[in-house]
Amino acid sequence: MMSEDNEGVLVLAYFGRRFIGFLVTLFVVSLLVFLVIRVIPGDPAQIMLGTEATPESLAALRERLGLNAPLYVQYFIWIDGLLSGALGESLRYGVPIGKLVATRFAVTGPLALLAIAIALGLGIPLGIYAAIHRNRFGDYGIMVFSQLGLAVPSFWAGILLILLFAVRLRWFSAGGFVPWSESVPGAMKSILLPSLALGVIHAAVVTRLTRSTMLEVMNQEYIRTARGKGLVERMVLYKHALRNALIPIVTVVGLQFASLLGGTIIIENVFYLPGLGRLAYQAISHRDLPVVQDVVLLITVMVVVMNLLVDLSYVLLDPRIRLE
Amino acid sequence: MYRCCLVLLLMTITLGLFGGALNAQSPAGTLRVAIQGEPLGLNLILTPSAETYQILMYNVVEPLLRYTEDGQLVPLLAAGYEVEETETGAQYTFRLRSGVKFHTGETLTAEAVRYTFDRLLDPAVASPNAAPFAFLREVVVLDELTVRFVTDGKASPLLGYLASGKGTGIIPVGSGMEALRTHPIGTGPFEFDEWVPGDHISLDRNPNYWRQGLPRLDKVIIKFIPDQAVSLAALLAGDVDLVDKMVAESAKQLEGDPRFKVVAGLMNVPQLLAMNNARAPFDNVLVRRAVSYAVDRAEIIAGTVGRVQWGSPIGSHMGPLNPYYVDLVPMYPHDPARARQLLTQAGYPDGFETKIYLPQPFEFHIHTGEIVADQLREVGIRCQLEVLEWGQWIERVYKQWDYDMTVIGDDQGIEPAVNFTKPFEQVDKAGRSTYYFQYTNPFLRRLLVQGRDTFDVEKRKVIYAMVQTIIASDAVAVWIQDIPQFEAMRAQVMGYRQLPIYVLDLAPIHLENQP
Amino acid sequence: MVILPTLIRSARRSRKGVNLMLGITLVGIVLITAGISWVYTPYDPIEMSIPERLQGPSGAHLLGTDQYGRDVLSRIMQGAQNSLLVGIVAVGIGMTVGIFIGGWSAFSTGWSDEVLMRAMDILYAFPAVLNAILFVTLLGPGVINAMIAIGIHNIPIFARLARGNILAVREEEYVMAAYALGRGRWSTASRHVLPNILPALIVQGTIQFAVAILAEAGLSYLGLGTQLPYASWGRMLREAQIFMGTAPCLALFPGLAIALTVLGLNLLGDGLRDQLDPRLANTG
Repeated sequence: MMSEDNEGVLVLAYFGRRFIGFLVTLFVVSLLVFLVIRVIPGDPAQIMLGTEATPESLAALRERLGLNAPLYVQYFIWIDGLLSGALGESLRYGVPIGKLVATRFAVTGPLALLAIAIALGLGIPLGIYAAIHRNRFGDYGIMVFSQLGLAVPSFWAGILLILLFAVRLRWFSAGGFVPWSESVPGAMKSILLPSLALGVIHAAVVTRLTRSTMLEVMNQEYIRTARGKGLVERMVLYKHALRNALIPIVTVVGLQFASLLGGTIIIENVFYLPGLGRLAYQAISHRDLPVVQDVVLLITVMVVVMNLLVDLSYVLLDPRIRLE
Repeated sequence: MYRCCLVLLLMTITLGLFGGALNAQSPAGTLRVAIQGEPLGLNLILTPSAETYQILMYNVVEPLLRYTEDGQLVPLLAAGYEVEETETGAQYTFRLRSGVKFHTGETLTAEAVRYTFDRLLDPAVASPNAAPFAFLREVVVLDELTVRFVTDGKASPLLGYLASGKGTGIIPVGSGMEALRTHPIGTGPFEFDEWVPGDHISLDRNPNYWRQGLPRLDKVIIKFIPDQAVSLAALLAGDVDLVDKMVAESAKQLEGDPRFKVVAGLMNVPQLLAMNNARAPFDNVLVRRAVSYAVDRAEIIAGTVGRVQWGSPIGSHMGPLNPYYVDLVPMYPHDPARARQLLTQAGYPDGFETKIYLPQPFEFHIHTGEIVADQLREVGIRCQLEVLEWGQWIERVYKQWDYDMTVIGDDQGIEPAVNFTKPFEQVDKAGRSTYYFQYTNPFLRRLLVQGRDTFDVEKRKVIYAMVQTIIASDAVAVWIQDIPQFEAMRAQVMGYRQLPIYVLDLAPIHLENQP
Repeated sequence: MVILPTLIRSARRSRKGVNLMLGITLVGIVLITAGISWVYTPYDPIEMSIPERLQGPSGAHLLGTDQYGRDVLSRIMQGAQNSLLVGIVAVGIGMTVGIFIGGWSAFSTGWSDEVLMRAMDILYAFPAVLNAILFVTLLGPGVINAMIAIGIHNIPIFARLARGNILAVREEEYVMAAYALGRGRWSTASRHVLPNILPALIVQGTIQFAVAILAEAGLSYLGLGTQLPYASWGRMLREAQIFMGTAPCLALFPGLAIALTVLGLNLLGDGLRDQLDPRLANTG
């Protein structure tokens, strides 16, 4: 048995090591992103000026956009700006990227949250139900649902929802976004279908996972003991089994965050939502380099932070895990 | 578990609550417009963006002259003008209207006109829109309200340029180029209110506008809705009043619905199948003619527009909205047998392999390219289709001329000299064309100079008819169609009229039953 | 392929085997469809017939026609080739490079292991779609580049799997024995380790095959994975969205094809895991 202090030091050391790893990852990612988008063929100035560009106007614009500086200077300026909180200016819109990202995040944030809520709200109860009624009719039904959920691409789910609710029933519009400032119900309405499309797909993963961990936990010694003590089945389930099963579920939901963010890129294109994913996609095709590097870095940071949090919470939630 | 059920319950309620169509009504005098693209900055001197032009020109900023819906040139900020020929060229003298005020309250003066054109032509500003004014030698202020443009050569297109060029809207003396990028200022019927990138631009009525009774709207909100299905849905739901440049597929769904009206028109953007005239086998005019016979415009229109009466086939580098347009479609009727015969004559009895680059994200051109490839296959020309991103398309096709064939819309003004100068007149030091067509013809170039030096409209018409006939008979490209566009609006929207230039003229629009 | 009959026989005996049977059937149908489409489709999947555009399902065209009057069934059949090819290449790249990196990492110690695994973590931190979009933009749109992009994203998955499994197997007695007998690193790896981790790799490979098909469909949907005029299920859906108001059927069938193929592969993967890796059988 380790002493309390000793363990505390170990945990801190572990956190410290993870944090340094996190910083290294950020540095490498920033460098990669920076280099990759500069190797991509296509001159941002040319794309902005389009077919009417002249060599003089191109040169002037490149100078104005700071594209003539050596690469390492551009990189340094970017990182320096990031550290001092200045995200730079969009080449395309000429507005501060911070503002741009904030308005776009007001779409993607709620969209991702609602999708996760749907995934958990649907997946956990279904998984529990399936585990309790293992190998019975309900279980099979739920397993069929989750297999289908895994197989359907989210953008097709989106298209089907549009077909049903927008084209046939005309309850929703086929996409687009009503800003929060204009109408809160309107904004909710515009992210509802896309988050359903994403959420239901991810619910399939959560359902499967909940079911299998519940089964595993229910088979474990202490649950059997609890049952043996004559505790009511329901109590056993909620108090012991579910709580223990939640740890891996939280983990997987955290890890799924990356695929969820990736999913928003496509689903935002299906529903024409002005979110982060669509911003990233458009910025790439318009070679809006400052926006691409900021947004890609931001998305990567979110994923890495999420993974870090998952790892750390794992250590905190489950002391049995060895601190290697 | 209960919490989870609660979430489910909440979701169901939300679905129910927002499920019914929210039918927003527009406040009196506010017009909500959906456009597809988004402006790239709001200073027309600095940006070539068609969207910026479409929103600001005539609405926020005003030039000296303007085009009417039937293609006539009429004075706008100028009260009148005179043209005199001189030994070295010509001079154009404009008398400005008095009492016109900018949105900032300053008065319009001849000095402001000179300031505007100084900025447009300033090498330090390096405006992408300056090229058409290369012949402008100087702008002279004669008095408070009189200004003179002195040109090298007769420069007959100047008047047309002034009414339709980007960056010709008059700005107040001393306006900063950077400041105008986010807050445009002019003398127009609408004042700039705000721009939320990725969402909308709003304009307010200019209470001190100099034309009596205009504008008729209090406010205009221009929303950027990139997808047609979404803008259609927004119109149906009453979230917008007017959808600009709707595609045929959506327009069809509004037909017969009394709540809406659809105005069919043309974009004045000739869509063409370009061939690299400098590269084999397209350096052979027989091959280019064969391609022209192989392409079936009617089928392309059926496959892209979907309804033949909405299509507008063209046969030269110009759209039918242009008063100088001549119809040369009959020169190459669809005739695969003749195409094969010409290919044999050119030494390609079994056809050949080639590549068509198609520009992403222009679905209309990609679709056209797919149909063209299918038609060329019938005469033995096997086309590989390659989709290029817009940036790469510009790089490879437009800048480096490194391509075989491509499908693109070649944006046109209304002044023929503008349309033809770049493609058919400009050459580099080696005498090679600097346009992606890669076509040169010394006789044609002399003809184009003559066109610029001629004032008489009837004489110009003869010259430009000759120009069009020459390029068509040399089959420089296959001109396919002028791209159709549809303006869809609620039945209450009155006063909409389509201009022959890419401008949404907002001043005369009003809503029925408007107080 | 000797393994297949044995699998089917053992599948019949277990209830879990239903998954496997269904998986084999669905994947088999897709394989056969792709095979048939090499030699036969009801119509030419590329040849246009504009007058017959946007027709609903009928006797002549079982699944209707698209906006160029092409037969949707024929195009879906041809699309199967495309999807399978993408899956094979993407998984192939991911598996080959991944096993190599994972193996290297497992058999080396210290910094090269650490650096490789960190690199894999970083690669994994990029959302797959973003990674693929960046990569395809770099190389240009096209089915080959899309396959490479998806393949690259598979590398860390196989590398981690290979490394973990190898580390577990390495400690086993017979491997230690082989080492002790003086066999080289790679010889030990290929003789003794690889066969032991193969089941796990095959199972993961099947799942990643499904993921690759979904990813390619997503990229094609964004217009980044296509070689026109050949059919791709994702691209068909993109086009269908334009005509949703007038020809809703167009948006149904390509999606169904994707879903059934992926379903088949997932079931096959699950079933294989149950059969090949009894340790995990309980949890499926």
